[in-house]
Amino acid sequence: MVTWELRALGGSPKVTETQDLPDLDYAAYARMLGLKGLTVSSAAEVAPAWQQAFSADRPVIIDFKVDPNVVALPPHATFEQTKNFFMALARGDVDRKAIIANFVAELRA
Amino acid sequence: MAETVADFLFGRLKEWGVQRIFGYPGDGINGIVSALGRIEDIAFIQGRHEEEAAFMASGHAKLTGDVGVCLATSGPGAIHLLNGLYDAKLDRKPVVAIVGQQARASLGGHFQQEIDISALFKDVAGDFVQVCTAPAQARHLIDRAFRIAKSQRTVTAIIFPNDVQEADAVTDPGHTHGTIHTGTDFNEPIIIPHAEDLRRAADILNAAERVAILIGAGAWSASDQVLVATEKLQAGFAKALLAKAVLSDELPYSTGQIGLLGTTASYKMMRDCDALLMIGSTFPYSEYLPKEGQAKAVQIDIDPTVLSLRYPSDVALQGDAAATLDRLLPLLTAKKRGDWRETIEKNVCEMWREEEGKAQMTAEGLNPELPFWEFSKLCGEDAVITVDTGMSTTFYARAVKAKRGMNTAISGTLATMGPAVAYALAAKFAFPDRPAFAFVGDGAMQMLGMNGVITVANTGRNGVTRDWSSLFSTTAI
Repeated sequence: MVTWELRALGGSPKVTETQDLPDLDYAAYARMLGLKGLTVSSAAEVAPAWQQAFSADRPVIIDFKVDPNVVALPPHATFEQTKNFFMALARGDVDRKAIIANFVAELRA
Repeated sequence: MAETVADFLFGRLKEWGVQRIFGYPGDGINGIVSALGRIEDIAFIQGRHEEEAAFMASGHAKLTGDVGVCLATSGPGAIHLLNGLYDAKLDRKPVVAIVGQQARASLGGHFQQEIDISALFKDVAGDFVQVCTAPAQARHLIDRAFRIAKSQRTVTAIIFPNDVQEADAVTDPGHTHGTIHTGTDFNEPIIIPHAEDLRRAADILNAAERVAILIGAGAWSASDQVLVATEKLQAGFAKALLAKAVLSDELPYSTGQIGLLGTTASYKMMRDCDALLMIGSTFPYSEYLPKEGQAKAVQIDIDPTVLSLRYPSDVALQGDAAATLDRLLPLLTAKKRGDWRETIEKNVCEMWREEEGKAQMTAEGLNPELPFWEFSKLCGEDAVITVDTGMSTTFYARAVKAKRGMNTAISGTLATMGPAVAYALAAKFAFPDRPAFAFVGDGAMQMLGMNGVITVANTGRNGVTRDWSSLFSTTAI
């Protein structure tokens, strides 16, 4: 979210050292605490994971490993926001290739 | 053993209907903690961090409408509470904070863990923050803290120096000049506007051709009335984030959320309307409301200080949403279905088609919107949904279709990271039979959510409250 705000409102590319988060295995963490832990990394696993959680006998953590580069702009992005967003990419955002690919896919959706 | 001030405190909390308090112990509240060990009927829920405890209290208030109570020790404990207290204050929910302080004789002595709590809390608990310097004050400080929190829907605080906590209680203040005699009876009033103001509001709405309705958390108890208003006015309604579950998104004229996280259908309805009816909302982004002058506006809010705040109202009505609408609805002339309503419904259809397309779109790895979309299809009306601040808020706002009966908690105005797991815990204590779901991004999960999961695990294990037989689902994305 902070990264998208920086792009759309600040017109700045991602500043990796401030915005990248350490990767953690949340499902293993859940199991360590005696809870149920599930990891989901593909679309086909999503609904079954929810069903498992709905019928579980204890609290559940589902760790959805999602693509961070799916574009999230406001519903009617203003010219300024859109311009900032693309300026941020043009200024060398480390994730720009993936973001542009997803943005094109979203326009087609 | 004689009753101490701390024993008296808990007796009085019971009279105010308190069933549980959220907190963390410390030697600045030794007297209160030891009294907790002597009482029944009030459960103590131990968080991992005072901020988590304050979020639980705030979540309790958001989900139940009752006062949330949190407890922390002096100095660092009091400081840790602050973010959770601000969360409640900004979303206008009642929370009472009880905090410890060093002994009276040491105050001003630069003593360990001594800070000026009154000064520190003067903003967040500005409506009422007091130090109990004598046992005879305890009764009226407690009563006023609750009465002000409930009636102003705000945060109040009482500070107990640790030697006062252990002092003998004074239940009878005497009857001389300067003694205070308070009581605990409290009843919510019904506030309604004057009849002529309702008439003026009706005239505006009756004359309009393209009415847009915006509802906020203040419309919680008025969902039936909002439905009737929408039908009579042939309008659509958009929802601020905190109002997501007030009315179902399965209705064809619900344009869903509004704002940065909102939908194109809401955006278009506000852009093209000629009258705006705003109910119980301080939705902050005016660029998503009509342009000033474009629409006539009627606003209803229980809090007169937020009337005409985001859009200048032609008729600004202070009142309870339900009671005010009950009196406004008979004055409204039923409009005929026409282009306006049809356009709204067409935009809503299109918006859900688009949203499904976005959720189903393939991404490198998993599309972050898909888990929300699938959850929405599977979850029931009894779900309590809590959402952290971040991308999870956006995807929840757009992809989860609200069903009537759901309950939700979000940090709407403070928009702080970290509260969702704590809210879900508060939900399970308040509604043990309902499933609770927390949507938390990895940032918020690592900031505070993971600690909250330890509280979840501990709650089941030590049997303080209940076992895990009722589902508790915490979801990290």
